[in-house]
Amino acid sequence: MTALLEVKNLTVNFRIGSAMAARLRGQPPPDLKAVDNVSFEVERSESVGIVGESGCGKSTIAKAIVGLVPISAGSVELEGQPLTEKRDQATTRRIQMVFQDPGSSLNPSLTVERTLAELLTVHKIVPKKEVPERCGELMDLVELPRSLLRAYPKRMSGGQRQRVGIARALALNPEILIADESVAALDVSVQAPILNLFNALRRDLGLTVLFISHDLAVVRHVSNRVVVVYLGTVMEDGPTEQVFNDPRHPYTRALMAAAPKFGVKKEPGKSALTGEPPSALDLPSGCRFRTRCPLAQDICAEKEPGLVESETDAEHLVACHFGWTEPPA
Amino acid sequence: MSEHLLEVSDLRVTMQRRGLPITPVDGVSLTLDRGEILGIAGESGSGKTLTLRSILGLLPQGGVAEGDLRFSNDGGPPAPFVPTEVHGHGISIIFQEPMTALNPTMRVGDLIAEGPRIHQGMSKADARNKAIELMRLVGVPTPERRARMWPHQLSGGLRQRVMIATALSTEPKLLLCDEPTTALDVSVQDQILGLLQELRVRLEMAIIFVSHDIAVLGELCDRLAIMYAGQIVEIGPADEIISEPKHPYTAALMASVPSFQGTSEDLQGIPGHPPDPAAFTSGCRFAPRCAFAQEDCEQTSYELTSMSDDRATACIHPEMLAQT
Amino acid sequence: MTFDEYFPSPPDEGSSGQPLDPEGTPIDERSIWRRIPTKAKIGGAIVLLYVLVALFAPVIATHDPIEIDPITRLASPTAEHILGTDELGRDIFSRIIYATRVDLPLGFLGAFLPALLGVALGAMAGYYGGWVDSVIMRTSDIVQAFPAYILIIALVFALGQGASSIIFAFTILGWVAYARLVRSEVLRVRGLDYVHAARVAGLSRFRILRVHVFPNVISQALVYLPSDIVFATLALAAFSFLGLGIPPPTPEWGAMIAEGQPFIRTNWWFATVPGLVIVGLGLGMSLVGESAEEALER
Repeated sequence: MTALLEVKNLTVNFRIGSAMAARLRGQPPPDLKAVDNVSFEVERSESVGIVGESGCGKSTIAKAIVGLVPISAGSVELEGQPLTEKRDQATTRRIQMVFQDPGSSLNPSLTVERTLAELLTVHKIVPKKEVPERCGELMDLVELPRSLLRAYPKRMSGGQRQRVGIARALALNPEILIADESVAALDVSVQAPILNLFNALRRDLGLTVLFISHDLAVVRHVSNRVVVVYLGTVMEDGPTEQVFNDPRHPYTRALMAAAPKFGVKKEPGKSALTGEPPSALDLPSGCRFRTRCPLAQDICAEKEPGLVESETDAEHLVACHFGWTEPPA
Repeated sequence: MSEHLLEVSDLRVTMQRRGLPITPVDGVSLTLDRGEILGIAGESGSGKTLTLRSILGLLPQGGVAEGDLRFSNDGGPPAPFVPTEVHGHGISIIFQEPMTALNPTMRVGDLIAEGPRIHQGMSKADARNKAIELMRLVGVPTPERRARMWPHQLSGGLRQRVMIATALSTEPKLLLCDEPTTALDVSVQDQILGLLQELRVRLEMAIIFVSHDIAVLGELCDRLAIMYAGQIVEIGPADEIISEPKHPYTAALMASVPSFQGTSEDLQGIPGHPPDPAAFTSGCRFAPRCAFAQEDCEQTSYELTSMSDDRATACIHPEMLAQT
Repeated sequence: MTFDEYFPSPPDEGSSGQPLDPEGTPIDERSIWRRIPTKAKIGGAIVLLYVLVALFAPVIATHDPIEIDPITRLASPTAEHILGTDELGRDIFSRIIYATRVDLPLGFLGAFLPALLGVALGAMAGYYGGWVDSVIMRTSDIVQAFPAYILIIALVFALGQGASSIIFAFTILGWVAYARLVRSEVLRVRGLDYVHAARVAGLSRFRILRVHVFPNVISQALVYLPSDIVFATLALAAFSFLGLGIPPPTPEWGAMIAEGQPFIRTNWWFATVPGLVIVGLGLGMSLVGESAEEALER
């Protein structure tokens, strides 16, 4: 059965600097490989969390899926059909996005109602005279009072604006909702109900959710599968509980170890991961994590590991030469 | 019985906002011992950042701080001080955004050396050497080379280390930290927290760490104060506060944080929102949102009551919470 | 726990006795009138005064502004001629009054037309980028490189004297400031999430430009407009002073300053009062412009 959404060998390059100047110098064009050969699948009604640190490319993956950035190589397929930046209205409606920054995600010159009504009208979701009622229903879905329809964004709090952003994304009745760090800018007590809301929407509307986040704890609460990204490639991909309880990639293990946990005190001078990630413009040969990896061997510098599934569980994949075996001592 | 390093009594900050006076910090009192790490937790609008900054007099335009601030700069009992006395002289601060906290027109080494040159009268060469030493102390690789770099050439984590080095350059007894790891990746945050713990041990330096991230505060701090609507609602040993809160706001906060260890329960949000500073009441400010509120809660004036030697809460009905 | 226990209502009144809106924020209860700052009221009143004078000129003026009376030339102020007469015996007061009908509309037009052109070009440059942006920006560089007044003089010479030539010249030059202001705002807004959201929602480029970009980029241009009106009025007066503006006998403040200049020692009010009248308009528009800027900042 084909998955609802398939990302296949997705590569997104950004041109930085002049291609002509590089060619004159006899160098390859100065491209930043923000996303490098990323593949994963999303089944209907699944909630997949894409985690990684800043600059790892997770946001770019989301933008490529939704058509905001051009795909340089590979494909994104919706039920087998490849998606491009240009897509027809019907396809556009199927995948929608909730953005990160409540301060800039809403048009300040429009009331909430106008923001929602615009989408309903342009896409003819409901007949014209039913538009105001539908706007009200969307507000109910995101647990906001209908009186806020008349408000401008600047009169609302960050949490309220995020809910409006979710309502806007839901206005087109999408099948897939992508949340790009949608709770990162919110207070903790405001985050919680919105995370619950995502879960409820998934349950009640059968939505498929792609949750982009740097916060492991949040991802654990919202997603049933986790994809770990480092410097533009997938390091690990598996069911949430498995990846959290038994991380097989050294990077995943380091991330888990670095996350602050209740009841565990920080030891002086110790940290899970040392040094800095290498520059994306000058990636190490072979496995790009090897420069910081405690298990690095010669083969790691020679050959880049692909995603390998475990023998016992086809759902859990790791991109490490020693993901399922022990490295030589 | 050792004396405190810092004593804050009844700190109040008043400001004007659109013509209305507000008191975003409203009667905060706390103490800190040498080498202790105190965390201040709170959400936006709680007043935690202003509290920290007023210790050094870093108030926004029109802000006025009142209250009793005492600091022991010389090892003796804490004495009243004016913020300018301790600038570069006993208390230092690090901020959240390294990019805006470091002067982009100064080389990193010069930035760190500035303090010793001005406050300790060191020569240029000595200060330079000290800067390199400090960079080594905070874990900046190849400090001799890095000292000649500009802030924009460094990564976020390195910039934060440079900021810490600058703060340490005047040998403070107390380091104030204003959400220094919020803008950093998890792995970098981990490194910086490890560094702060190490510095506390090596330099016998006390730290006040302000953050909204309870998990981080739990990892790092000895004691923890929870702020809401300009007041401290609970204070005590960090582990106890987190595992056995004695104030409904603390309990609600703990229930809303997704824990890394994960549970299958739904997270609990807190209905409503914090009161606007222009509308602060004298009774319990959390009562309108509190699931355990009783009739006298909004009527009774705020007071931080000691429950034991090092534990205090502002809730007048903690027994309601204990029943759950 | 019941629904009501879990969702208690917020207080209706804060400690300072202020009424609170449903969000808990104190409402500024003063009426709309009292909420407008004094500066805006004064500026607005001044401009309104000038507009009313222009509208009711025939009623306010005491004489026909172009009626010549050689006998009473260069008279001092009297009851009949409130500000005396000019060198052709025309009533100065009436000429100043009627001049509002020239200076005001031309000053406004001389700023509005460049604004229209500049906003359109700037928005296109910022939104479409690429060669559109390059062409528009390089053109603006060229226009800016010329000394403004020389260019205007040349244009007026070429097109002949008169109101339309002056306005045309202002438009050719004046659009640049608006284009730059709007272009930089468009560049800023283009990268904001709500524009991305509009794209993700499949809205057409034109709709995005009209609904999501345009309303959020013109505030700076709107703030600039009042000061540009002042500039246009002053420029018009300057050109009339130089003899390049409105041809006689139409009364115009700048021209009157020129006409009065030779008589400055004896009939000082002849040149001075029109000058003060220009200053007054400038003051009014500046106050309005400043208030607009401050209002938008909040």
